[in-house]
Amino acid sequence: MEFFMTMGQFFAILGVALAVVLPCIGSSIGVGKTSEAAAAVVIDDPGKFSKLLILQLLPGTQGLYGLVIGVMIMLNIGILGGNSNISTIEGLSFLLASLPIAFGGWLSAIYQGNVAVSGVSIVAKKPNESSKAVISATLVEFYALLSFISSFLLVINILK
Amino acid sequence: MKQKSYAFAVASVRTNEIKLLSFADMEQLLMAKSYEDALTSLKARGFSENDEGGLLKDEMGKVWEYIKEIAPDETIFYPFIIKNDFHNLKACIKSSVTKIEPEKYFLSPSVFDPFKIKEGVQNKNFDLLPKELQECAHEAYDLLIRTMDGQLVDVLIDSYMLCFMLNKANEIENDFVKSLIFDICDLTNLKIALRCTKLGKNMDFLNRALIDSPTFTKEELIKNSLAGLSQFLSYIRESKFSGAAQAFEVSMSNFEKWCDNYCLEKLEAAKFIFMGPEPIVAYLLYKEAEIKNLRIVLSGVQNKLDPDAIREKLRRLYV
Repeated sequence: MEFFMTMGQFFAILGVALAVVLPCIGSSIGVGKTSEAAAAVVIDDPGKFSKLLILQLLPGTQGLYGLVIGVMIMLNIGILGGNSNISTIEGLSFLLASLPIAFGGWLSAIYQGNVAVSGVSIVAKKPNESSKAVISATLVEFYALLSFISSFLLVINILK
Repeated sequence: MKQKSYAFAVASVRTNEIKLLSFADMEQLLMAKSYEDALTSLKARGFSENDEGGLLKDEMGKVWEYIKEIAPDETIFYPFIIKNDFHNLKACIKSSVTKIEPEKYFLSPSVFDPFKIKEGVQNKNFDLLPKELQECAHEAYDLLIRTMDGQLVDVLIDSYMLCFMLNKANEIENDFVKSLIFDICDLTNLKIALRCTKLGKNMDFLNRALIDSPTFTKEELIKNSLAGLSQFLSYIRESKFSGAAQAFEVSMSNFEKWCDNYCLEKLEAAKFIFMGPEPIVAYLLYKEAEIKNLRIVLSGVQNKLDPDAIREKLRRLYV
């Protein structure tokens, strides 16, 4: 029990790891799939590259959101300098605060990747309608943003 | 392991779909002042500069090479190509009796090398053939030597082809592709049965020619075929292919057009699928239909047929 009570920093770092790793996995899957599809279009029509680039980038934002939350937790627990003595309850709180972006970011990046792949087909067949493809992919981004905001608000309020 | 994905393959197919000919393009060809003008117009659209037959023949070969290049697993498309291999086998087996070189009858694209088939059949060493064709080749060769009946050999080989397609379909996990192959097998079985009924073929012949396909049992097909054409058409009317009976009443070519359009219509659903083999299958079959249409239009223009008569024969296009 005494050992458990000294594990605050461990739980907080676990939160950092989840906040960064899961959305990055999702983003790499999403960006990877979209880029493969975009490459197939660019082989035949290099002129469509700029229109496809936005679709390729969109599933990558979740990884960034995760990193921001991870850095914020690191700053709060003093791992980047300052007092790093936090209680187990605080450490667990940081772990729980990281979960919205960890899971929301991970899954939304994969699904956004699927929408972006469909969007690549729109750009391939009807380049003038590419904005509709971007809007569709952006709709999924909304849910990644909700996850990010939840984690953000939780993290900044834990040590208050 | 091939490092390819359906995301890449489908996006690539979508880029190429826009190059498929539209109704307007077909109309333009139909209105060509001469056959030469129609050929020039086609060449301007990127068709290779050969004679007309070669020009269109090359096109399907190119499509198959392209699909092999982009698809993560090309074996899923074998059932749509294998008919050419069985056709090549027919040519080789018949040439072993007629002593006519079979090369000029070879169709491409094919899954197996037709020259390997030729070598195996000419040397009567059927082990040299791909294992999928060995049993069929052996039986067809024996039948031809015994009966000298080319038509019987044709239907025997066709029945093996349908069995191959059905077995392959059962291995495929994709429901769309599986159901499409089932429909193609059903319709091919139906076509054979209708031809046999029209020609009044006997029980032995029907027994060799027909198979159990997903919708029609061999027993039912034979029973209704032996009962005559009108009974056979009533039997079809009760199946899910009721439109086929109506089309047949107009003409055999109308029936064949109906069968092609039935499958092409089914492919429309592939437009809404962005990851999977469906859009690739759709592209392959629509390209095949496009080439069929071009043959109809070019031969119509060459023979100065009425454009309306040509239009009636055209298959559904990818819109």
